[in-house]
Amino acid sequence: MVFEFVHLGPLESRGTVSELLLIPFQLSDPGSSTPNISRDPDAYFSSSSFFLPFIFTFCLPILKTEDSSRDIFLLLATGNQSCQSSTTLRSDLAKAIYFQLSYLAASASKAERTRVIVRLLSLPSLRFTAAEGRQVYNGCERQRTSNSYIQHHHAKFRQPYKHTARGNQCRYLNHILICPASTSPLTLISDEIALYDRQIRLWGMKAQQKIRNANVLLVTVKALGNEIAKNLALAGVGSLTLHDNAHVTDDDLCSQFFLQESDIGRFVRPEPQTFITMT
Amino acid sequence: MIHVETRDIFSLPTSYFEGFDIIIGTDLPIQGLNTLNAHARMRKKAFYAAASHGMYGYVFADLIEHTYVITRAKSNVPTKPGPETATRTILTSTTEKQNGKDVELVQKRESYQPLILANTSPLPQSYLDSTRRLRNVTPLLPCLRALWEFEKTVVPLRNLSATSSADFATFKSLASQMGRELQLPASSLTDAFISAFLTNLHAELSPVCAFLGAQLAQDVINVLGNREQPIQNMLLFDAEESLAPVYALYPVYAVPDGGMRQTKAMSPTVLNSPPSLRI
Repeated sequence: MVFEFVHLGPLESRGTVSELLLIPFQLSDPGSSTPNISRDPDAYFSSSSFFLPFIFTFCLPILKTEDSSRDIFLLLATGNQSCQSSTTLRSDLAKAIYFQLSYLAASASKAERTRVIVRLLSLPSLRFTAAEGRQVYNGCERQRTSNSYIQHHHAKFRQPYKHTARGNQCRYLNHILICPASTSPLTLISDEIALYDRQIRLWGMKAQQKIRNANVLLVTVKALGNEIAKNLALAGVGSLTLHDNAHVTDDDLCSQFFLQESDIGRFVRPEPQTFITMT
Repeated sequence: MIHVETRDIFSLPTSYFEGFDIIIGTDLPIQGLNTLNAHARMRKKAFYAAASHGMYGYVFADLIEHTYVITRAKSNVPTKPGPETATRTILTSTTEKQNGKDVELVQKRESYQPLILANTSPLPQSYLDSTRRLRNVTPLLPCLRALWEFEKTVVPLRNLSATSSADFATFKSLASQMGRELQLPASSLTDAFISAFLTNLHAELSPVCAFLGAQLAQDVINVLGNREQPIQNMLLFDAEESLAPVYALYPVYAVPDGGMRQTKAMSPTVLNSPPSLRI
């Protein structure tokens, strides 16, 4: 098993990225004791004692599947600023995850080629509430004891994400969890975070959110319009309206990469699926 | 989400434009651009105009009033709120620590003019004060203005012909008139350039479109995220010279905050770094 611990570092993916886990957590001081669940549920559910087992229950079924050459992405969203500056905390977290996963991988036969990539994302206002945490925790415990757990969840990974609860609710994407902050709702779904990861690192989650909600009108789609439409769509603009009431001519084929010979005479109209991966 | 609109855009009511955040007009004649710009202004939406003419091209921005934040290393000289250039005002400045470095978050505001006014505006005072700078202003600027004037007055419905000597003479006299209005030296506008410009008219070259499309899309994305300095307000691209200077074309009377147009009191950083981009 290859293990990488990336903190906002360069990202290149050799395998197919198929799993993503977004867990809000607080890094606790390694020297301090585990928070007491009954006395301080808030602290407990956001501490590493809580989220580490949760990560492992998530990874195990992936490690055990036949197709283990995939990358596992763990995107840990933390509300704790200190994890950005403190290398000790980061390396302790890395060690903990690494040892646990190696132990799990030893029991999984074909896990050598799996890469586990852990990335930290700092979202200052992201926190678990006690109720949300307990719900996840109970769900995990229940699933862990179930015999059909692995098959059941492996099948579920391949299902598209259906339910999107808006607002401040905790959202569950099978195992993939997004917990929006209580003040600013995070409405990007995890797939989008993974897809636009590099640019989110450049301009931040808030800007990506605005780009996602933007409506852009592009009048005249010629060579320059093609370029603009392509660039905006790749950046994840929410809605793009292309206006053009001219018909495609021979000349348009030279410079417009969305058009083919069969398009001549039609309205200038790029097929959306040729360049849109997310809508 | 991609929508396609094939109705005549200029027959649609202003209310149609309400639903958009950004309106981009590409490869349109000046009347079309002015109409779109007027719709955008009425609905308080950001407007971009762009076109590519072979090896030449431009991007024009009218964001009406745009507030954005730039993040930069904290300098020893404190940033004072107040007017920075004729169009730009510093609103607030805060400092914070990021990754152990002092960074400064400066909130600025740019105010814009519609294309119809920008087209009759002089170059910034810092250019007018310097013969050297005026000499270096690209002849593309008077040529574009002449093209728009040509579209408006001479032959509204007919494309200019590069081979017709009558068109060349009309265009040349228009361009030199525009050059005089801009106070450019007569030597900067050569016959060779005018003839090259006319030959390139309405041609489409992929690399030029890629550059312009990237500049425009980048600006749209930054504007949506309220970050980085946007284009203020005319970017001209000359692929022959590999130059893309940005000129702030602003009417003399419309200086924000009721002040006089500044002559000598511009900040030294602005004067020392002409807003041009070498690629």
